[in-house]
Amino acid sequence: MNNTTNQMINRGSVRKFDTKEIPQAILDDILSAAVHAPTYASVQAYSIIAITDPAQKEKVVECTILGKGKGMTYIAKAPVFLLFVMDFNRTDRVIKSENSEMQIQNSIESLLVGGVDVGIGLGATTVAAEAHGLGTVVVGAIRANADKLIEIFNLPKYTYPIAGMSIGYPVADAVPVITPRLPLSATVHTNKYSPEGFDKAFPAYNEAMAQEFKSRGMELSWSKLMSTYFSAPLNSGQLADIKKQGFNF
Amino acid sequence: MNPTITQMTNRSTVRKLDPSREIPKDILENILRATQQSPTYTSGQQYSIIVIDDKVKKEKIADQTISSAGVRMEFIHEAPIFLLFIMDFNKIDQALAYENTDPEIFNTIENILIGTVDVGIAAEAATVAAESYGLGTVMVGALRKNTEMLIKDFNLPKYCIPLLGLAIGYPSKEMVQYPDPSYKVTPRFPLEYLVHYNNYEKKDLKKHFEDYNIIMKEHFLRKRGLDSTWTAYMTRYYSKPFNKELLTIYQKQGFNF
Repeated sequence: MNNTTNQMINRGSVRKFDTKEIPQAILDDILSAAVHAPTYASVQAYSIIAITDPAQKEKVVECTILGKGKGMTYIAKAPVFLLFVMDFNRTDRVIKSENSEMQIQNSIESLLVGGVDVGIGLGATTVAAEAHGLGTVVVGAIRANADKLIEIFNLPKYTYPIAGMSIGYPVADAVPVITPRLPLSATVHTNKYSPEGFDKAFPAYNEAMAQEFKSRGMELSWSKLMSTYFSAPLNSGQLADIKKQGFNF
Repeated sequence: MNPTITQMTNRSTVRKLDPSREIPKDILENILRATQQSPTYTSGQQYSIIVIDDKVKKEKIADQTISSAGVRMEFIHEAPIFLLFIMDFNKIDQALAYENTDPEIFNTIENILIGTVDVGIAAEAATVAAESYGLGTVMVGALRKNTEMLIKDFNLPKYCIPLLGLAIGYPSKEMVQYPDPSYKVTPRFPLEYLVHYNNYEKKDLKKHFEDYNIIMKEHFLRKRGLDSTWTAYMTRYYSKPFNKELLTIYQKQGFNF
């Protein structure tokens, strides 16, 4: 292991943040590293909205409320929330400047380019922030109320909020919580897809995750957690929201 | 700047990889372990990686990328390792079957958002980790135009879709001896055009496009022998209908939204 991979292997999401501000120079440093990550055909199909305003952060918390929950309250505590928006609005303007018409919005390829570009941006920001001793947590739950986010942040046509990230210094006594992952044999295949790897790993992993959740005071296993999320029609209004933003596939 | 940030800010795609230099097994494993610990939606790990070191399989993928202009992505088979990133809900389906619950996720577009973001995060983690070992990488989204063939060739089960590839290898000698390293790094927009504060500000991009076009035209020419401005390059990609048949393939794989 070298320093970089060592840092990455010991990464855990941070949800308890200190009130200490992130110096602008450090934030710029992190964002510069992020934008140099790969992007499909140099398009840079995303924008990042850095939210530092407490009132705006509270609004984002409200957008993460599903059912009776309180939403992701740590968003309000972290000094910065980065909202990652898939952005083909800029692409549209680029193509208009060439007197041509954008077509990508009429294929699901737009969502694949945008979703992957945002993922890459989030991955890069995570590593860069950690390299500066900051903690992060990626928030997909903002999609529960994507329509509200579009309104709050004035997101124009051909843009869509995909995910967010809280970023800040971990509280002083924070012990990083590293969530166990499936063994490599379950997620990494050689030359062909082999379902046996997962089949073999699943029982022990489910048990390891049950122990992990127990240590956090939760009666849960990995498969139960998956069932909680994926046996409900999650964010089913999204396709309509995406189409309202000008996408049509 | 700290070393990780410096490495990331100076990253560039390396399309000339040394086919004769293998990646030691322990280094590949470190890269994959670092990848695996990156964030993933609700600990679901909605992706799989296929490590391809088989020459015939790499050649086949390279063949599939041949463009209408006859350009083949040679780096795919020149790279000692090609990682194929799959959005994988098959594992989730099995976890739900174990709990005797019915999956609903396949019926909403949320699965695509979860899957693309998970794959993007993982592919970027693999990129950073590989670079930290002095390796070079190229990310390949173009293989999506052959989604159906990849599903067949790699026996991908239901709820699995190939999204992305990552060629990894040691940069070839000519890359290492590149005359001016500053030309290796693909220039990006100035931060102010990508990052907004507290609100999406619709910025006037016209002047910026002009400046960026000048920079990118020179970059494309120096690095890839490509005579194009950035706006012309974007237009070539995005003003044509794309992968129209993808939705049908997704439905065949069990996704229905």
